[in-house]
Amino acid sequence: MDKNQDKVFVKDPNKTYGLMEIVEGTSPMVEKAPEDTVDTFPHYIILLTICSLAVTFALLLISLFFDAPLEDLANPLITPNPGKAPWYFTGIQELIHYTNKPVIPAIIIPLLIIVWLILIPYIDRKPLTPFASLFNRIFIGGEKRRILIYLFTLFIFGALIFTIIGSLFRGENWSFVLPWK
Amino acid sequence: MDDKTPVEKKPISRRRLIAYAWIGAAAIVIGELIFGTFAFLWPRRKGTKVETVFIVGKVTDFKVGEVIPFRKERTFILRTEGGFLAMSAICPHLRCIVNWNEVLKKFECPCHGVKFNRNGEVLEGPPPRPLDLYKLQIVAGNVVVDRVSPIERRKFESSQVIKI
Amino acid sequence: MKKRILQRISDSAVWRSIFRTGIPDTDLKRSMLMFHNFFLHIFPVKMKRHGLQFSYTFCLGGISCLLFIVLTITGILLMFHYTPSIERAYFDMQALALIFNGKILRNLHRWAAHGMVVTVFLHMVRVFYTRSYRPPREFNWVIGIGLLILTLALSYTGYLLPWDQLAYWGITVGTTIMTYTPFIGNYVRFFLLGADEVGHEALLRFYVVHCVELPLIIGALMAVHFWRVRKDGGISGLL
Ligand code: HEM
Ligand code: FES
Repeated sequence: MDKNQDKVFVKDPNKTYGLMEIVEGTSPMVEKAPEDTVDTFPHYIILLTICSLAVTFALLLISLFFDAPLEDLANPLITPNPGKAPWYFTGIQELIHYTNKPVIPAIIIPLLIIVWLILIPYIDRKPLTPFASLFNRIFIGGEKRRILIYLFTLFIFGALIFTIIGSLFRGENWSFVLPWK
Repeated sequence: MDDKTPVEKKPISRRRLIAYAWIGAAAIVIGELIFGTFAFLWPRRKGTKVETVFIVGKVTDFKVGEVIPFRKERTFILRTEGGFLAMSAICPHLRCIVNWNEVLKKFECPCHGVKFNRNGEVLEGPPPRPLDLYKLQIVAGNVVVDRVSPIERRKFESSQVIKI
Repeated sequence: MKKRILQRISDSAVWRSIFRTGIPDTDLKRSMLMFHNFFLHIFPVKMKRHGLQFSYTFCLGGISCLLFIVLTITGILLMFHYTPSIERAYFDMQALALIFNGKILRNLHRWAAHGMVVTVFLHMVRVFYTRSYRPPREFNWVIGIGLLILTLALSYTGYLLPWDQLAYWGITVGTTIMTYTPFIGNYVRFFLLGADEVGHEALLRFYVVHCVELPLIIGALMAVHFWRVRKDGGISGLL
C-alpha cells in the first residue's frame, strides 16, 4: 500500500503543486466550494416542491370551507350600505372620507408613495459627492438607514391601520362601528 | 475620422441625412401605431340614449316640505313653500346613490358618510359641492323633469326653486 | 430489484430521448438534470446555501409566482363558463354552483387573488428590511414596484366581472376617483369605462384587460424579474 501511494504522490521539484490526497466522491467537487454552494437538485427542488404543495393544499382547504362572496345583481339605482371598495383599497377610502378633496388621498398620496418607493434604491447607496452625502443623511439616515427604516415602517403600519379601520370598523353610512358588536 | 475630409464639411452629410430620414420614418410609424391604437380603443359616444324627460306628477300631489325619491330616475323632488326643486340622487363626491332619511330629514350617502340638508347642501362629510340640480318645468299643472345634464351649484339659493 | 427496474426504464431509448439524463445519482447527472430541462433551466445548477434559508426570503416571491400560476389555471377554466355581458355575467356566476367543481374553482381563484396581493406586498416588505435592493439590484426593485401595481390592477379589474352589487359600486367609486386627476380625469374614466357610466362597455373592457392584457404584461415582467435575480447572483447576501 505504501509503495502504491508513493507512486501516486510523486513530487515533482519543478512544480509548485502536486496531488495531495484522494477522496471519495461522485464528482470532482470537494466538500465545500469557496462560495458555500449546494446543488439545486435535490436541495432546492425538494424545498420548492414542499412549499408549493403546502401552499396549494392550504388554498384548497380554504376554498373548501369558505365561499367567495356573491351579492345581489348589480343595481345602479341602489348603493349597498356601507358601500365598500375591495379591502386593499379601504385604507384609501377611509382617508377619502376625511377630506372634501379626494384628489389628495386618492391620487396625490399614492403617486408620491410610488415615486418614493421607486427612488429608495437610488438614494440608499454609498454617497460619492458631498451633496449626495447630505441627501443621504436627510432621507436615509446614514449607513444604518435609520430614517428610511422609520419612514418605511410608518408607511406599513399606516397602511395597515387605515385598511383595518376602513374594512372592519366602518358600518352604515361609514360611521364608526365595532366589528364584534 | 471622415469629418476632416473637405466633403464632410458641408452642413449635413448624405449619410446623416439618410439616417435622420430613417429615424424620422420610424418615429412616424411608431407614433402612428400608438395613436392608432388609442384612437381605435377610444369609446364611441352612443347617439340617442334613454329618455331623459319624465313626468313627476301633478303639482297638487305634493305636500309642502316633502322630499319624494324617484328611485328609477335617481331623482329627488323637493316641494318647498314657493315651488319645486329637482335634485340628482348621484352623490357629487364619488357617484354613490344618496338616500333620504325621513326621520332625521337629511340625505345620507352610504359610501363616505356625507349628510346633506333638505336643500342638498353639505352638512358634514367630504363632497365638494351640494347635490346637483336637474331642469324642472311646470307644464299645465304637471311637474316635468329633464335629466339630460345635471346643473352643478355652489350653494342653495331661493332662485333655484321653480315657482308654481 | 427495484433499482434495476428504474435503471432499465431510465436507460431505455425512449426515456433518454425525452429526459437525456438518467437517474441523477452523481453530481454531474444532477447538474445535467437542471441544465438540460427546459423548465428547470431557469434555476442555476448550484445555489448559495443561505439563499435556501427560509427565514431570509420566507419564500414570498416564490409563493406569489405560484399563486399567479394557480390564478392562470383556474382563471382559464372559469372563462369556459363566463360571458362578459351584463345580462349573463351574474347568472353565469350563480350557475357555477351547479357545475361540478365550479364553486371550488371560483373560490380558488378568488382566494388566490387576495392571497397574491398579500404575498406580493409582504415580499416587498421583506426585500426592504433585508436591504436587498442595493446595487446591482436597484432596477429589479423598480420592476417589483411595477409588479405590485399590476397585481393590484389585476385584482381590481377582476372585481367587476361577477357583476354583483360589490362589483358595480366598487368600480363606480374607484373610477370616479380618477376623475379628480387634474386636467385629464374625465377622459381617463371615459376611456376606461368605454362610456359615461359603468355598463356593458365597462364590463367588456375590464374582461379583456383582466383576462388577456394584464396577465401577459405581468408574465413578461415576472420573467425579467427572475432573470435579473439570477443575473445579479441569486438571492442577496445576509446583511
Ligand atoms: C408578481 C409579483 C412578484 C413576484 C412573482 C416576485 C418573485 C420574486 C422571486 C421568486 C424572488 C426570489 C427571492 C424570493 O423569493 O424572495 C424575487 C426577488 C426579488 N424581488 Fe420580487 N417578486 C414580485 C414582486 C416584487 C416587488 C413588489 C418587489 C419590490 C418592490 C420585488 C423586488 C425584488 C427584489 C429586489 C428581489 C431580489 C431579492 C434578493 O436578491 O434578495 N419583487 N422576486
Ligand atoms: S360617494 Fe357619497 S360620500 Fe363619497
